[in-house]
Amino acid sequence: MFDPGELNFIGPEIAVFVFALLVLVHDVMFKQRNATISMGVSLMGLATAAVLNLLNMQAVDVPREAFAGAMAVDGFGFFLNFIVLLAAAGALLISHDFLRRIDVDVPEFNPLVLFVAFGMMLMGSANDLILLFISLEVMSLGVYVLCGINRGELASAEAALKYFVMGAFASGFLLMGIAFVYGGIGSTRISAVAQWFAIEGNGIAGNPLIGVGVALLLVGFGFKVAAAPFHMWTPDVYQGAPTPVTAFMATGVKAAAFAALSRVLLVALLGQNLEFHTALWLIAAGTILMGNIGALVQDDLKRMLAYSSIGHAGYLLMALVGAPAAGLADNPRLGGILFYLLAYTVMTVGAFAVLSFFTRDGVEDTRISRLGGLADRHPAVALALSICLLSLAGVPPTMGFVGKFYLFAAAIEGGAIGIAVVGAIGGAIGIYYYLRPIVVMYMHPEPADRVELAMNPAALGVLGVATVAVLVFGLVPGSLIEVAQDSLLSLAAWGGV
Amino acid sequence: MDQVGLYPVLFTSALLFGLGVTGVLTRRNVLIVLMSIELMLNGVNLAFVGFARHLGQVDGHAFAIFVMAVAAAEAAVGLALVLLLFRHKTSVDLETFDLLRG
Amino acid sequence: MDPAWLSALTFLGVAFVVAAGALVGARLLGVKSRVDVPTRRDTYECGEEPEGVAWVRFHPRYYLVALLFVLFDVETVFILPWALNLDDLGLLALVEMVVFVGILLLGWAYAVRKGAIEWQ
Repeated sequence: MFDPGELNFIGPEIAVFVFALLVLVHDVMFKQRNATISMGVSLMGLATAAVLNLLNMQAVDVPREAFAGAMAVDGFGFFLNFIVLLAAAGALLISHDFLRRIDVDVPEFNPLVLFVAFGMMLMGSANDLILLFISLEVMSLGVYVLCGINRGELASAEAALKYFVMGAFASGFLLMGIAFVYGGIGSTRISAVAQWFAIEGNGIAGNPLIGVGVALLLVGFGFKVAAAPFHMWTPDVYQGAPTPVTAFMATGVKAAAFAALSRVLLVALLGQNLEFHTALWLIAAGTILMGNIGALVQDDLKRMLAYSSIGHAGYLLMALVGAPAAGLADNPRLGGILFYLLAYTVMTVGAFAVLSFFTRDGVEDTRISRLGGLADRHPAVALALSICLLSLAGVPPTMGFVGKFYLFAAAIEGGAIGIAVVGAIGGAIGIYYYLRPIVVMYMHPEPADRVELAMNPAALGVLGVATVAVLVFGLVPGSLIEVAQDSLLSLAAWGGV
Repeated sequence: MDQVGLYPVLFTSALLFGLGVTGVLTRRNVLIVLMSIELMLNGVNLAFVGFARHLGQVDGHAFAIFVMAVAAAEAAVGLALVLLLFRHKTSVDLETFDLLRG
Repeated sequence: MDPAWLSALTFLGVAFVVAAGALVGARLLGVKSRVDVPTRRDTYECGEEPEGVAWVRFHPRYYLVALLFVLFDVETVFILPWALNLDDLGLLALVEMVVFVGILLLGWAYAVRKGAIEWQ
């Protein structure tokens, strides 16, 4: 039966939700919108959630279920909550001045970001596929609207509709997959699926319903994490959405979708890898190559980062290919998945903070050529952006390098040498296109029609914190890696293997 | 009615879902695409209810209710976005939304 | 054949026959006019003279009201099973529903405040 004490476990989610309502009431009901107060209250909500999350993390030693098994209370969920809260805070801070500049005065922006974060956090701890679906929709519906928040701009509206059609289509597949898994084993609990597989003689091969269900689930998740061949929408949507929203999508949405996918693959389907190992292998390889090759030819930095985000999804899938059939404890390097999601969030938010400076008369202009001469005009910003880009490329001593190292190690230890080679090729291509903006910043002259960078303290603060974090955790990753590994290993508590 | 087994239900559900998928992939009118997505979700609902009957559980029926609520929210957001684009383009043809491409 | 399958297939068959029958029947039985009289392409209005064109555009405010209706209407689907089982569920379910309806009310207040329900 329901125990009200369990509400503690969704304390962070409740905090974010209640603060979202508060901001909504303040901004809309009283029509005395003060952007600074609204921002302050929103950030306070995120901070409250972070504190509650930290308390939960310390209070819960052994992973446990809550709400009759709908929710998994484990380190994996806690770690993801932190990533989501960071991404939301970054997006909010970048948006503060940006929205004013592009002349978008929408009081719903901050509450929407909080609602989306609420969905993301639930997604990371969902042990029931139905809860997973509902939280995914809470997240997605908010993000569709955020994409189109710049109502006057055609590109923004178009990106929103495109994302909506693809997202809703993918949800349909995901849901059908859930229905078949439910039909196959009689439960939608992820842990129940794992326990069902653990029974001798049960497997994908003997149960067509499960096979179809898993395949449909993979298609649905493929769309959501932008894995090839379901990645086509990503560049268009990322380019059309306003920069702070793109930053949020690239980091928060990707992290949440990946966390849900990891939970399904590493808990429910661990040990069943053989059946769909080839499919996962091909998806990972395709994603790495499509993302990195696509990024090569882009002239727009935002679009390039969109393609590169596909490539990064590929590296994460690469590590999942190396998941051991015998149990997670066999390959602790898989903790790199969580570490990399965090690292990717930090460095991407940093890069997008710089991108948000490039507006001209209320319109975004993020062509790489605009970066010319940045090193002379604003050496600190140029240096910070360079560090973030080098981290994305995986150059030591950055957080991106450490994360990538663990992903490759996880794949190789799991015996997936082939995919690691593909990953290395992708990484080599990556170094080339990440260096290009840096070369432009340091070697090329300013464009003739230069515009002043719209620098503002909030976004500069995000950039500064991101850059420092990238360097610090790149040099001394030790304790953070340990936390990430422990968090991932907490998934092993659910498995039937 | 009681003797209807699982497979006819699944067959109908798959048919609905397939029709929806075909609609999304081939139609160019956004409104019809939205309807096709609803058709997909209805196919899923039928599958949930069919499985729940087959398994003798209540869970599946409850899931169908959740799916309906989500579908309604999705339709609301989708139609709002279509209206927004319609104001820009005076068209609901997906092919005309081609600003972002490359 | 399994009678269950038979019923599903019969249903499908009847649906096809009805749809195709209407088309074929109309072609076979319908009176074909060779001259193009002005009323031939008119909308059929049970004998009434049609007024205006069928392709009128509805004002967007209809959509807004319709969207709000759909959103709040569908929530009833959660209230019905709750109401049927309230006796067994007890006080906790009552509190849960109060929270649920409270959030819905907040959404309604938001819509009112935004002027979405006013008919300008």
